[in-house]
Amino acid sequence: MVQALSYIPAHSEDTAATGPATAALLQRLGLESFPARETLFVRIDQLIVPEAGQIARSARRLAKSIQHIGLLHAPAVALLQGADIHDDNATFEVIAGRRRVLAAHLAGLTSIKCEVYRASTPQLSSLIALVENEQRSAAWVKEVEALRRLLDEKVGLTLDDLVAFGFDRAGLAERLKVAQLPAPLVERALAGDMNRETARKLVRLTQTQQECIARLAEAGEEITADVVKRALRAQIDNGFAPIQEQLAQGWSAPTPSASANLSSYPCSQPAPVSDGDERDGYSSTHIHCTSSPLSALLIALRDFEQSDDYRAAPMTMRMLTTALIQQVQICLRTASHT
Amino acid sequence: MFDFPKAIPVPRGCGEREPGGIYIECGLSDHGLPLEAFLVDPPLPIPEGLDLINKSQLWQRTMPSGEPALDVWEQPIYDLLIWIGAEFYPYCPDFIEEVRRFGASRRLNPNLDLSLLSRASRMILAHPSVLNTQWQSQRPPRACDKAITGHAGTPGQDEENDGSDEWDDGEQDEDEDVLGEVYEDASARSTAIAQAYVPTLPVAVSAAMHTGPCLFKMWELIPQEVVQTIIALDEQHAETASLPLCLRAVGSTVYQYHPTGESPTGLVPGIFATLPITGFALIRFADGSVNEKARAKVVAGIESHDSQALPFYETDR
Repeated sequence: MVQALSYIPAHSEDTAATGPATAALLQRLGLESFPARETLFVRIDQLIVPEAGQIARSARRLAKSIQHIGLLHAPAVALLQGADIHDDNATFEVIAGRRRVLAAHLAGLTSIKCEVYRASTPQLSSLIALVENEQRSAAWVKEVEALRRLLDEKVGLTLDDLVAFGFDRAGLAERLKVAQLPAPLVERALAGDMNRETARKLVRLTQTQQECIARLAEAGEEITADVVKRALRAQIDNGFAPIQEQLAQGWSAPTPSASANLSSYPCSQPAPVSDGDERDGYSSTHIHCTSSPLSALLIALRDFEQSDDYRAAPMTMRMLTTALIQQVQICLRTASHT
Repeated sequence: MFDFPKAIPVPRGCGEREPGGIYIECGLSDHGLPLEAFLVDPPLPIPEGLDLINKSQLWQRTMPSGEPALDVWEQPIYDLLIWIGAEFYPYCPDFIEEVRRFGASRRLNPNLDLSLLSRASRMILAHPSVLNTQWQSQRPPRACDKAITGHAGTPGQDEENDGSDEWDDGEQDEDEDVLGEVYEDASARSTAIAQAYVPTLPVAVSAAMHTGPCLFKMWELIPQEVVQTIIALDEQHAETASLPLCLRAVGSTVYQYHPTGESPTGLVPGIFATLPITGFALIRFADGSVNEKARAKVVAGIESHDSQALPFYETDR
């Protein structure tokens, strides 16, 4: 619904004044007041992007959509060098919107609209970055709304179409799933009655579970994070039921036929051991304390492993020897507990 | 502290243990059960809604009735859900064979509340390619090491097939002779050793008798192309074609398998094992210290679980 902004006072008392809390915050940041700010078009070559290398990859993706649509949100920058923010030779450090600036550069833009601060300190820069993220924190709801509208209009839009346009697949896939939730749940999200974390858990529910929660929403119940978490928990527990049943019954004993078979492949009686000499992971205890044919075999293989023949042997032979040593070791261990 | 089973600190498929890390272990013991007792066959699908990929997490165990499962001290039991990534273990047998030889050792996020884990806890392991959706169109595996009816044909057929490469009492002397003889050259010895493993294709079972999907089919589905060594075996069985013996090395593990050449497509994520936990290993930094945050959590676990607590040890590797 379109509403004339004149209905909302431009400066209500609680937003216009610098309250004591804000004043205290500024004092802690070493400032008397917020520095002066103007919205200006700034040439890209005047902008310094800290740690650009770290964000280059994601910026390239964003560049695609900037090429088509333009830069919709002005980055915040602060004067770094120069007499004045209007100085043609001034340079500015990007405080918030580094990825957007880099993407604009990659998209071929030569100047962009920025919120330009006359001065800044590292503390203030951090605060501005924090405020900007706070202002954008509800953006996911707008994305869900837009996606829902596109879905409702049945334009046949796919995730691949949007990724090709420059959207991040993982992020958008999640919003798309939120947009595809039953209508009462989407309405809750769009109304701001559901946080993002709750929405993310909702999309992990099966359709049946989602519909159950949707009925609760329709009945006017509050869809809290706890409600969704409980439903998800129950669903996953249900999936674990066969394992839980096994665990409740204790470990299944090996079958007699498997127990008797000491050398089938893969060895059916493992329960590896670790006591004794851990040279190369093998226990020498078993090698020397028993005279079984398997022990003799292991000794022979070990001797061969130490011989010149082994060193001269092709890789195939050496690998086969290692495989056999490991297999015999497993069988010996098996023999020790049967 | 008393001695307890530990994993063997060899280089693994996922690399060597890192200083400062905390690792949860399923150690090795002469007194333990066979690994097969802890394998889940058929593998289970990962419960819908569980976000497990690369995120180890604690999960409170519940009884089938929905009530919390309690240990002998009436404490709730928490299991550890662990994802075994395909980047280090492309095939599930890579990990299983490593555990069989060296025990399990998995690095944990020290931010997890490790004090919740006790002796009753288990590692519940999942792999991205372990649940075989194509099993009905494939041959049954040569053997099901859990001997589940229908996985590898009828029980009678299982016995018959397994006899081809067993070292049972009757064959042991012969095998020993083969392997103990001094060969003039390495390749002759190689062939002789390889022949001890001559496998055959399983006898076909009718679709009605074939159940699955069997975990042990995973070995046969590893493509021949991904191995380090292939040994072509002499045709010994005129009626059934023999399969090549392949050796695959992952970390310190070298294991053998016989690929059937069937396509490994159709493998999806699943749960394949529920290993017992024998303790924690804290890997020392160069200065001899360990991750104190992690240590504090396992110590807290010892205090709260008393005799059911999991032990820990400090080690250089």
